Amino acid sequence: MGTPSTSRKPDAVQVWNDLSNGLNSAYNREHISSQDYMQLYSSVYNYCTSITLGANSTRRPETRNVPTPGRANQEDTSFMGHELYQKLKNYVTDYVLKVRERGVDLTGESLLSFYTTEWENFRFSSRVMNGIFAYLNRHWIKRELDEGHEDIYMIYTLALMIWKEHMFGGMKDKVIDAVLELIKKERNGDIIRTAYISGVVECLVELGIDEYDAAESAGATAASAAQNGAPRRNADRAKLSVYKTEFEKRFLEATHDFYKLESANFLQEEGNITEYMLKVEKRLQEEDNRCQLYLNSATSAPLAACCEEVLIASRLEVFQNEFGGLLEKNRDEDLARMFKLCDRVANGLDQLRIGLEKHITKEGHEALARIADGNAMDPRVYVNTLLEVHQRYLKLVQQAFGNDPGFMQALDKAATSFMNKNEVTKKAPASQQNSKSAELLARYCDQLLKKSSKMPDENELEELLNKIMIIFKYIDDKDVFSKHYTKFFSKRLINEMSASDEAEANFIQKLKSSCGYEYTSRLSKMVNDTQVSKDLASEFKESLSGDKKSKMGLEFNILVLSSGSWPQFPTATLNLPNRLSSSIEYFAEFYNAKFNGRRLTWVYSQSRGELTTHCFSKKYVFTSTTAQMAMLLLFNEQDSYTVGQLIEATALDSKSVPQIVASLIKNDVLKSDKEITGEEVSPDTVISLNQEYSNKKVRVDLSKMTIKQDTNRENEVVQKNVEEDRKNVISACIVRIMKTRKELKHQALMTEVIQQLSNRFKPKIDMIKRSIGSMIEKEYIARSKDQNDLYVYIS
Amino acid sequence: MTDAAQERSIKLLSSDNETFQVPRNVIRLSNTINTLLQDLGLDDEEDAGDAIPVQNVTSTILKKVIAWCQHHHEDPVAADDSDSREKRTDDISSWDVEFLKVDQGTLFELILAANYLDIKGLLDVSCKTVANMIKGKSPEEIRRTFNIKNDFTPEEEEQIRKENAWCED
Amino acid sequence: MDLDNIHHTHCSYCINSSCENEICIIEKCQFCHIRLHHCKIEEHVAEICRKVTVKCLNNQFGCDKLLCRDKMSCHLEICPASIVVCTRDRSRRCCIQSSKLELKKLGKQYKLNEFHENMDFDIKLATQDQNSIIKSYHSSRKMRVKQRDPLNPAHPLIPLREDLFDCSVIGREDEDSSEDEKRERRERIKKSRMMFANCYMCQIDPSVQHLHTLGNGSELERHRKRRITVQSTDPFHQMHKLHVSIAVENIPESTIKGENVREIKKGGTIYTIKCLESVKRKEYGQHALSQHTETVDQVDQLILRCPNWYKGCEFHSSRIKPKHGKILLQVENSLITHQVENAHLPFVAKTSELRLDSLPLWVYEELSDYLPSTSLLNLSMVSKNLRQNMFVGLKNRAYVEGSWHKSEKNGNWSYGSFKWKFCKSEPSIPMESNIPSDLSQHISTCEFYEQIEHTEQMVPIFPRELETRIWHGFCDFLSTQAIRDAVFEFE
Repeated sequence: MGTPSTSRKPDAVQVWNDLSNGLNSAYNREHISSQDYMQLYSSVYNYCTSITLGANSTRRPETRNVPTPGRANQEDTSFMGHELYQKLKNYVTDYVLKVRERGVDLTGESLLSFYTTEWENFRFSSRVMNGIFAYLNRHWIKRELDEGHEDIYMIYTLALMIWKEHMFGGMKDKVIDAVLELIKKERNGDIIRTAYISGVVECLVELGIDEYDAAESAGATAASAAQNGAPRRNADRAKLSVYKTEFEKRFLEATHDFYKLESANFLQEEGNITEYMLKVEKRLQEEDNRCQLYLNSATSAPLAACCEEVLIASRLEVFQNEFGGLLEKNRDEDLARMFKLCDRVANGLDQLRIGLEKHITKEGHEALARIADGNAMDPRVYVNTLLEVHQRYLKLVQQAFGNDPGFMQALDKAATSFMNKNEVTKKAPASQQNSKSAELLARYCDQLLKKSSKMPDENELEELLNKIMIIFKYIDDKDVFSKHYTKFFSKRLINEMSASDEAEANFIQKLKSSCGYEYTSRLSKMVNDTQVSKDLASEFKESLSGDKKSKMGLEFNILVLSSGSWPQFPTATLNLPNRLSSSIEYFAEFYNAKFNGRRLTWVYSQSRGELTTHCFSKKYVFTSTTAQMAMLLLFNEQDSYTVGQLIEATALDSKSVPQIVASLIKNDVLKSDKEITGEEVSPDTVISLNQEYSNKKVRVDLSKMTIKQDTNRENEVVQKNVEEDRKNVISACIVRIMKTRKELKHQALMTEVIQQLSNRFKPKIDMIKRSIGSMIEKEYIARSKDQNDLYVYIS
Repeated sequence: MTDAAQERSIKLLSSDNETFQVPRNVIRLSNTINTLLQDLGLDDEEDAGDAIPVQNVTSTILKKVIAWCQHHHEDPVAADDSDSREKRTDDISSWDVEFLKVDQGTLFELILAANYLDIKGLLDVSCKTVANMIKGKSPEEIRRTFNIKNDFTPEEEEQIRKENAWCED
Repeated sequence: MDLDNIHHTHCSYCINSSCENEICIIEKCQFCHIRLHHCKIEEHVAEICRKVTVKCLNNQFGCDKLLCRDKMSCHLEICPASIVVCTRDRSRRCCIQSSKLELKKLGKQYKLNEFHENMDFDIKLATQDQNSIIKSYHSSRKMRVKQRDPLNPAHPLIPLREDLFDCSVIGREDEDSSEDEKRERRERIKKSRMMFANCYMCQIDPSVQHLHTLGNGSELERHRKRRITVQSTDPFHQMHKLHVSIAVENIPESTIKGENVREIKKGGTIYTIKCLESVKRKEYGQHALSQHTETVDQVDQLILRCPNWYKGCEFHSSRIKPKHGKILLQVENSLITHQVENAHLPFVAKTSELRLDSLPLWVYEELSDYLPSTSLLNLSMVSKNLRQNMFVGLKNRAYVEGSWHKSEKNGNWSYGSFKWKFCKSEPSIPMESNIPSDLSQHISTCEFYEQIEHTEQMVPIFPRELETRIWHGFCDFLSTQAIRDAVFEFE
């Protein structure tokens, strides 16, 4: 270190000597003490501030320079600054070229180690140099930038520029090659010195910054305020430009090639999809780590995309083929993994969804086929099977497929298909095939909600009802379900057989939330009727004054049903015994007094009664239908009757009497002199009371035996009703649509109708056609004259 | 700055070989010293290390500079609006006014020292003080205030008085 | 030439930067890196390219800066050559009719008033204006007459334009220019018999719509009764040797005379003094405020004199004043500056070698951020060293003006040398209002008041009942009189 010149007007050559000595030691990484640093700083400072326009100087400073092209005739300061800057630039260029010389022959890892160490040194030294020349930065360079000379940079930026131009420009190919080699080695499992790579990456990032430093500092002045926005934004993007163009591009290419090869090899050799998937996962994780660790985080997105493309997207077919197999074997874990992998790739999951749908459908059909042989019509078994299949795949979708909506949709579609048309339904008679599921479901509900010996407790019941609702969602013909359910429900209400009112109400609520108010209105009305009847009955009892009651001499309970909501019941004429009929009269009086203009129709077929018997050894209590009661009460008068007499007395038709008689005979309450075979009883058979009737139980229920559950016929009836209803609904729908649209093509009308009714049931095409025809007849709509398939609304 | 760093003190050596101990967070006002400590990695070291020579500044002046930094080390860093030329001179705090009630020589030395050590606040406030002394004074008054000799010849002076212009050929 | 035509025909419509044309290849401009046809590059660099260094647009007016084209607009705002000339003026009225003659005499002898220390601002201003007027009379009448214009028909605008060919400073030694004037007037009156001879507006601008003043002055001259009262200036003006009123007026003469009331004319001559300073465009606002609006135009509020001022009372207060410091008029530069108070530090010789005039250039550059142009102007007059530093080091704060030279050969005028000066502008002076309570105090005790004694005539006051008796008696008398008269009428 030369002795510093302390005079205030140092001469340029001396100053530069001192400085270059200092720079030498800086660049040789010799230890720079704070003294040396301040020394150098002071040299620069004194040199730059030594301008005084003294009184003795001529008006023009003597060092008025020879104008360099493009530079103005400015003051001394400007010229001195320029000189110093130029000298510095030359010095750094020399240094960098020398460094390059030394490294020109190296390759591979040694090159990397050389490059990274040299870069570190250079950075450090340049920073020190920047500090030493801080005064120049502050004043002259800032002024130059303000004036718009964009080829002048801050000292540190200048150093980076020089490095980039000479050193990096010359060696970049070899360096990048070496880096890629190292990465490949690591991928193959070797351990490498990641410091080299991170060093190179940092260098690239920093080199990217320097170009825009000048723009930024110039942008800070008011002059380019208008341009300010663009350079800044570009600066952020440009910071990584060198990194991106030089390194990232090639890196991604290399990655692509590497993994293409690897996956091809792997699948050729082993082909086990599970193994492959595990490997893919591992590799993806590895690459991500690598990126975080020693590459720039901006690369992580394109890197992931590249890997996914090679490892997954190009192998999608393989995945899809294996998917089915995995489903078969119920390999949930593998399925989850496959889902995750395919999720990363666009359109990866589409095929999988289709596969899932097919599989579930198949499974469902198989499961039902299994039970179809056995207990086909048992609703409980049926429903449970459905539920089982559904639950299993629901769990699969939720867990393995992360509730992905596409897969949920596949599940729904599959469920819809196998729940409505399966082996079990095929067994049903043709007309009922489409709605068999609905019927079985209704039956199952009935089973659950009826009073029975094994009553599930509240929570279980709730769960089961929820499960029913799940299946209900998938049923096509919801209106069939409604009909059946209404039927069962009415029976339960009338016979007071529902397990708990709360549960009923609960279920109705669920139906309402699922299908809307209209659907459950009838059910609600039915419940309402029951309530009202209870009140009415108690009122009636109260209204009876003393003697009327005694006249009645019997307990009398009424259930008033509003005719619209309740299903049709068969009505039959019946001659009531006096004691019964008087009660009826009283009630009719009472009711008509209360409500004006309502007509009461007595439904004897559903009514029941209790008889206390005094004629047998024990006192028995018989629960029987009204018809039975009427008949038995006759035996109060006489011991025996002929069948014909019975027919006369009860005013029942000749078919029902033998039925009732037969049932009573079966019960041992009555006996006949002839053998009864089946239902045939001749009119002159003599029926008499069985005096030796005995039963273990005191209370005997006779009513159950009477009406045979002719399920098939019943179902047919229901079906017919349903058909009728459907016709009406379709017609109403058509008219509604046409009213709003005024004009509609045939095809469009069909689609509209189907769509609007999809919530209730799936209408058949010819049914709709027939309805349209009937509408045209009824002159609600008409075919347009010019276009054959256009319908016009007639208001 | 961690607490430990706040306790650190830096040694400064004036041009006439006097040492001063300055806490780290006080001397941070000087960009030059700051850059030096960062560049040479002396920020991480625990002990004060060698003294940093401040060769353009004498001890009296350095003392004053340190005193100023001491008072102002808590100041928030001002936003850089140095390009707006609305520079006022009437916003000198009273402490600074008292502080700068020194003789002119010291004042100019402070300006030089502030520029050397790159302490913007001190540079600004001392320049403002000088500016206030110049503002509104006629040339004769300026000569009186600053003890400057009038070295114009009478003819030159006459010329200047008639028309104060600077000709360039 | 044919080849060129081929180039240009294609290239003049082609804006495709990757045009594949082989005749004229696409090149990159070396400065701004955009891609152009080869034939267009020359023109591009010469006229448009934003990164090319060119001379300032005001180069022919003296600015010698070289800069990139995209910095041009910002530079032009502060270019030294972009200057405007201030046209603010003020008027001074002569105190009495004979003041004009006095001023002419003084002008002949070139006897200017002196300035003392601590002169009040308004007196100083008036003295300065008077000196300008006296200087203007130190020239031949011919020249003054030549410089008359319709807006200044009597005395030309001060400062007078330099006339290079006027050798004779004063006409004839023995004669006063006032004699000339009187002569002229008599002749004029005699000659004109026209109806509208005296209509002032016709003289200024015949095309302007106005009401004519009828008659001509010749008759009036005869009819006018010359009652000559000896006029004398009031003591105040005498004390300060002022022949022009201390009040600054702002209405130019032409407006007053345009009113056509001859009586006003009697007031005497009005002199108009115009600023005519060149100021940098960006600093003009500050110049107008500090040199005219806030100071000169408000001088009657800055110096609020006791009502007895015309008798000689010196007391004054103020309605507004600067928040700190004071306002000074520098006569040698005719500058109005604002001086900051209590800014004085001692100079001790031994502490350092540094003095204001021996600082490195960068210190002046730092200081210049805080100094207005007036301070730079003053600094440049302090010593040679400082002058050098100011004009060379701080050139960007100065302005440049060219001077016109008439060539001797053919009488063409052309730009000669360029002169660099500093403008006279200061930032606006922060003012605050002041309640002149001290003036109210003073007024009650001002010694210049003439005592006027009001004595009341003695009015006899009777005791009350006597008054009433007299009054009643009187009323009775009146009523009896009235009855009698009424009776009389009846009869």
